[in-house]
Amino acid sequence: MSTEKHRVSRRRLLILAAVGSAVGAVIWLKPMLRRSRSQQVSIADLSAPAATITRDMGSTLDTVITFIGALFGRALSDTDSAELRERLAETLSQQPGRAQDYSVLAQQLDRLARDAGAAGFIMANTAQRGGIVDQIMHIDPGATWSRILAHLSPGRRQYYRMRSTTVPDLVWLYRYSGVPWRARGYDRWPGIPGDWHEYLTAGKTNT
Amino acid sequence: MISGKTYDICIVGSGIAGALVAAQATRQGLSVVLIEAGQRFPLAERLKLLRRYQNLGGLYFPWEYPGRDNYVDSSAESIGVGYQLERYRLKGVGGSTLHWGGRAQRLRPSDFRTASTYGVGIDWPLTYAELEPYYSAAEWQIGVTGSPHALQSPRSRDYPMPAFPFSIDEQIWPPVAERLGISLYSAPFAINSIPYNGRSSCMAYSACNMCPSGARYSADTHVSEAENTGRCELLTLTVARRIDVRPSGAVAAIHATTVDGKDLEIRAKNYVIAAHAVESARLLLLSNCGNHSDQVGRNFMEHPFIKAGGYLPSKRFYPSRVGFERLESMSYYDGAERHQRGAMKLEFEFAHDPLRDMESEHLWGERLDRHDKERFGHWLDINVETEMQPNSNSRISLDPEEKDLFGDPAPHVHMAFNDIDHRTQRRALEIATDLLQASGAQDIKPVGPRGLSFPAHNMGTCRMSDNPALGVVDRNCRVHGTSNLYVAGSSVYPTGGGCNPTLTIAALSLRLAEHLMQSNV
Repeated sequence: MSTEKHRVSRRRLLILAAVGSAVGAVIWLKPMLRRSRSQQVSIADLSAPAATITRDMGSTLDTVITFIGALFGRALSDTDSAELRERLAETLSQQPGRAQDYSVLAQQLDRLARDAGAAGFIMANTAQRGGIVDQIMHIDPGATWSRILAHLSPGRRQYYRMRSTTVPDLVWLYRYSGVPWRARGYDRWPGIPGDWHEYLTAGKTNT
Repeated sequence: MISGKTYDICIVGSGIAGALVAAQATRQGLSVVLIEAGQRFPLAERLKLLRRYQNLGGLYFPWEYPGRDNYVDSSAESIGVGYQLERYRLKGVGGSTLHWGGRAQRLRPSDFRTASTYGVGIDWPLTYAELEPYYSAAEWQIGVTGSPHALQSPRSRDYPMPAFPFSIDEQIWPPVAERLGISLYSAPFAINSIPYNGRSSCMAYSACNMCPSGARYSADTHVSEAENTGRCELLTLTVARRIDVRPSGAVAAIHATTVDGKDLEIRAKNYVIAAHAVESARLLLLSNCGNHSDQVGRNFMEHPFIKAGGYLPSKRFYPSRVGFERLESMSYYDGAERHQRGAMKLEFEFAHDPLRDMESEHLWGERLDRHDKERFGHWLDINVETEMQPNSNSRISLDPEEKDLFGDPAPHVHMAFNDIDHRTQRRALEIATDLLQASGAQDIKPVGPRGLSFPAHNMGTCRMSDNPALGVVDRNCRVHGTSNLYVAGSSVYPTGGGCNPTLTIAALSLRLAEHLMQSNV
């Protein structure tokens, strides 16, 4: 009895020490995590040639585009997919480093799809894709705990980067493409000229 | 040294302050060298840049230089949110006017006298009346649309272009405002409503921050004008690193380095530092210049935006038909309340993209799609541009660890609010919420943490004061204790009011140019 008590108290002690260390680490790390340094992107060569998309990268982009559709809950038309592909290719030509991000995302999506019983993310049904998107989006990239975990292993770091960088970048690319605007009934969106006098009249949703 | 030449004026920075001084001086026959840390971004390439921004995103306008423009920000420790400098400045020919929204407002006379009128802040050594002729000149030089309204600052000259009329979306607000006794007006913009100064009228790209048509003013036009006189030499991708100030107070040279490592010594009769509130202060600190009273870098100010939004299912708006809304109100700017809080200007917006709610509302997949279908075109935002008080703890300093490409200390940004700022921001949120309620909007909430964001209006750090103990430059923008060194731009503002700063930068720059021409004679 007393040995059991002793074991329990030692276990409690260990748990307390572990919790204490974790709390201490969070308190110690928090100011550093909040203090931000420059977040810079490179200046692309404006005359950079369009990237050649390899067959492997082509299938990666197919997976990424399918993911974008699932993320926004929309069935993409051929026009939508073609525009996203063109924009992703432009992105790769300007920031070739993103190829690695897209590959990691596609691999993770395929792995999660296999776990869900599908042959790959593209082959997964709508419900399976939705479940996979849920798994990815439930990671909170702003949480201190997520940031600490990201330092524990290269795999966790990759996973964290996927959620904190790759997904937001794709969200941005989608939002500024024509895809959501077409879905809202517009035939012109930021970046395509119009006529400001039209702004004075009501009515058409396709402007 | 550049070919042993001595210029009339050496200007660091080719944003609107440097560009206007250069254009004015070269028109009068003076020789100018312009040192610019960034590169040229020609108008012809703006569409390409816009597309790149739309694809890559992440930053407001991604033209910073990796490994060179480092900085450290500890603002989150004091105000709870970070200050993302790379989003709030732009290094390139034309400076931050390459990505500004174009709002071109005068400060109000009260902004120059907050201490004596309201007992808060500090008075400018200049009055509004002294600056007024330069405001008018600035409006005609850069091209401003506008129409007179009840609460406008007194003016001696009409706007050069007619105002943009209220849009169909904006028609919702006048009846609400009338009920509440608030007056509205169409904001002045440096966006052409008719062709002006060789630039087209607005072509409704809905992308004002990059304006591919050139209808929105950017200062590279004045840089080109200066170059076309044959009297302006522009050094791009060249970073000013030290001011060589002699014990007599005379500046002998500016030392600069090109990004490919070539050191330059540049000599002139007069020197103007117009490198943005952050870099102007950093250059003075690096050069141990003008900091006799420990004022350089202090009183770093912004215009904290307090934003709230609401859902209005009964109305249909058309976001992004044209990329800018022009409705504003100054009804909460002045008055007895200003003894207790800062000035406020209201802006009314319709451009909210429901897809942006993804992270904050944890929406994705079909739920996000439903949210977009329900909310797009049914959302109102009110943005309250608030005055931030000068505060010596809000500052730019040299970071003890972080270095730039050349091994010089990087800037350390630390923004701090005082009690008046907190009171102002709380009141701004109340006002925005009340107005949204009066419009019939539902689901009203702050946009972002406490509704707080920043509009990239960096001010302060080299305060103008007749008293050297309280400021860095005098009423002519000359650095105290020097004979030929000047600072141009919003860094000299003693207080920032609640109006967008660019037109005041332009007016002060034209005034400085006049002073320099007189002193060069």
